[in-house]
Amino acid sequence: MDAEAETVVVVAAQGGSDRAWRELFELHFDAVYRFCLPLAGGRCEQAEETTQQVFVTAAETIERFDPGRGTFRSWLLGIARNRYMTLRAREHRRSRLERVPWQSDAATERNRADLLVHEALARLPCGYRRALEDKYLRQLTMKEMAQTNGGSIEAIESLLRRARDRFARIYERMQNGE
Amino acid sequence: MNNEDTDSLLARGFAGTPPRAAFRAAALQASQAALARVRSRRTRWRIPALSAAAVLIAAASFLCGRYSMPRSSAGPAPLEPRAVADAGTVAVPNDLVVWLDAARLFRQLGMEERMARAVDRAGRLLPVDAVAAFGGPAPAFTADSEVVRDETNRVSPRSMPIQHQSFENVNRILAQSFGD
Repeated sequence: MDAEAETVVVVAAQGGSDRAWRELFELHFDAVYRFCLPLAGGRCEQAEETTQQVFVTAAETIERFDPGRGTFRSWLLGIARNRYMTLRAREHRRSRLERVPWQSDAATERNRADLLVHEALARLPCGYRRALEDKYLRQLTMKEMAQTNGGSIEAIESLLRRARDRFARIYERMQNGE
Repeated sequence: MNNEDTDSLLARGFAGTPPRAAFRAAALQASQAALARVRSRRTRWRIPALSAAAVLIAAASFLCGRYSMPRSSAGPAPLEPRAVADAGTVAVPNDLVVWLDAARLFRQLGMEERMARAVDRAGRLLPVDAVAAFGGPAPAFTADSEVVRDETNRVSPRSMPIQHQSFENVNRILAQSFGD
């Protein structure tokens, strides 16, 4: 799905279409969950809770999403980060009162690279992101990708190369705090 | 960053166990319920919002229509065309008759000051050709022993044709009105 097609689906979901919403959910659910996992320090339950809250919040506030300001994936990850910060602040307050052990900042730092991967992916154009996800998440072969996208294997290889280059540039920029 | 680094970063980013199917279904259901809530809330607000918009549009249309009319037309109605009738009668504005009636009533009640004012107002409504008959400032009307003068002098006497007959007609109106 390219950027324009995704925008059409987002606009339909903003209009209240269940079908469009389901499509967006299927498209981004895995990535959001995998973003929430390092965010929650590898704790599956917390990652699941955050992921669910992200999609509920997104459904409630989808009217506020502006496709001109970024990708839908970036918006979802932004919600996840906000939810996580809220959760973390709450647990931090509770840990001071009840002496609940909280994951150290060093542990969170270990997950920073994983989070950056997802945030950089979210900033990629839809076509590049889909190609990378097909290869690394769904682990499709070049032949399968060519069949899915309706192109030649050489075209897919070229697409993957360009997608990786773009991803690397975005990742490095983000790593440098830009 | 070389290709291998990028490759390993991406592979690590997508590594790990995928989300459970049951959790996926629950999350989808919860988010769809949230979307349905938003949809119903929007529908609930739509009717009052449309009603309010309709009222606003109606009010705006009314005000625009009202203020688009020339100011003069919103004021008192222009004097009706006057024509001297054949049988010794004269057509006058309705307001003149009303003021004369009022003056007569005030006279009966002994309210001289008010009566003078009513006569004054009636004098302003006199047909202009009657005013011109004087060839000078606006006419004065006598009510009992009190003289009330029209100071407004709204009509230029020189611009009006002289018609003595009209003035006589007006005097007759006043006299008839007071029952003299």
